[in-house]
Amino acid sequence: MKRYRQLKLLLLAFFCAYILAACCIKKFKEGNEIFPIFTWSLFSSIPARESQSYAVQIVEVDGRSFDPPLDFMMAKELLSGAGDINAHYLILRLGKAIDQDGQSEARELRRLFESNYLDGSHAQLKYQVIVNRFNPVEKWKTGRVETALLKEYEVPRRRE
Amino acid sequence: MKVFRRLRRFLSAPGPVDRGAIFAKQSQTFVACVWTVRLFYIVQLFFLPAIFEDWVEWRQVTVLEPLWPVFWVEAVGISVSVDFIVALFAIGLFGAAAFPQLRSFRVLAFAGLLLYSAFKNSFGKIGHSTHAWIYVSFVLMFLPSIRRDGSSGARMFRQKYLSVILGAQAMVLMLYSLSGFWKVWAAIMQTSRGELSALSVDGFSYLIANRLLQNNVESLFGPFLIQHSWVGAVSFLAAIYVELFAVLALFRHPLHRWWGLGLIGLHLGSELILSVGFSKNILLLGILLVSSPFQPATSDVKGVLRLLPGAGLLYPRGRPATSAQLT
Repeated sequence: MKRYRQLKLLLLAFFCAYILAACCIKKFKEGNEIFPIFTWSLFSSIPARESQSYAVQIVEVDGRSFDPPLDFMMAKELLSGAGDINAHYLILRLGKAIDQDGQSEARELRRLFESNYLDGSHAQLKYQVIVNRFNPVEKWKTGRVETALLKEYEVPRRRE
Repeated sequence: MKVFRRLRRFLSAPGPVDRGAIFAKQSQTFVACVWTVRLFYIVQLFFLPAIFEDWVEWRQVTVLEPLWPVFWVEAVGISVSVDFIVALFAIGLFGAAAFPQLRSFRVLAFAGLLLYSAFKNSFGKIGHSTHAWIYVSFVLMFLPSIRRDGSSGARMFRQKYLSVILGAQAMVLMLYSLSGFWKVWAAIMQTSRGELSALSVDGFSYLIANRLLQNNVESLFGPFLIQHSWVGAVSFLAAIYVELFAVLALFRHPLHRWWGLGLIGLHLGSELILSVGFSKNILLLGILLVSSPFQPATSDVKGVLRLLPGAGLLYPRGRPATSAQLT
């Protein structure tokens, strides 16, 4: 009986510890998680009528220019990493780091992004990190968005 | 422990509940629990082919942002580390599927799953499709060991086993309740600040539009709900109800199957509306809740409706649901 009570207490303690950890992470940790403990705050907040987001657009590849620049998430025919949802969230972090002048963080995120999502099959690639400001419903209906350039980068071909 | 008993009664259906029927079927429920555990590991074998495809790509990776369980991979060598992680996971799974009664294999399966998931999420973004599996795998490590002669032994042994399975269900349902809680919390905060919120008629429309734009995807029902915000608002509130009160279903056994189906419906809805997939969770809900070993064999509609959170307000107190109504 004692062992049974201990087991129930252990399970209850684990359960409560998780909830407590999730609340603390929500309060103190940006990003809402310390793997594998997650706050499970998913789609909790409604986006504001005037929202802001970051994106990458491809300006030039192997000397070929794109006017208007090509949205990275739509460039699947050009880049194998395009369209990957993980790339999208990485771009959001990169854009935020640049916007908030976090130079070392931006440098690391840029390295992670270029190594894993800009494949090395091109000799030269120029891309821009931009900030988009929009009303979500209006943008969905009409495509209307205000764009501002944050930074432009050029990627040489990786050496074999 | 009176505290446990009082807590359970408080969270269970309004009025006293006849629990005699449930404990009378302890042996039968125990057998079902053993199968649930085996099924949990067998189903994960289904994930291995996709993992093997990742394996080929991961051996070529040179740069990553390792999470803490795999902090060592760059020092050891990414290629070798990936080989080790995948092998550990596969061996642990095969062992646990074949011999779920052996704790050593359950521990290996958990370690392999944790390392695999950590590596998979070490590329700048953490996905959450395997988190619930990790939690359940962790809890199942605490299952009491079945005797070598295969017998279940004393009643207390079976009760411990059932308690761990309940604990696993609790972990899964808790995640949904947390998700529902934060939605309610955000709704209150945003409303108090005069911002758009889940309580706004067009709140869900904005959420859908933002999500579809963010991922540059289309969904089957998203456009309809953006255009008809009232329908979206009601859908969102229904989703919050199913999430928020999920953990209460744990204490109301006849609700297990239906709440599991409700949560699966929520995932299917999010796929059709937001283009957000959570297919692995659907499997887990199917194993732990829709096929819950605690679910009574039969249940009447009125009895189930009485158990819905909030439905107690519609029924007079002092009329306990009997075991005949619950079974």
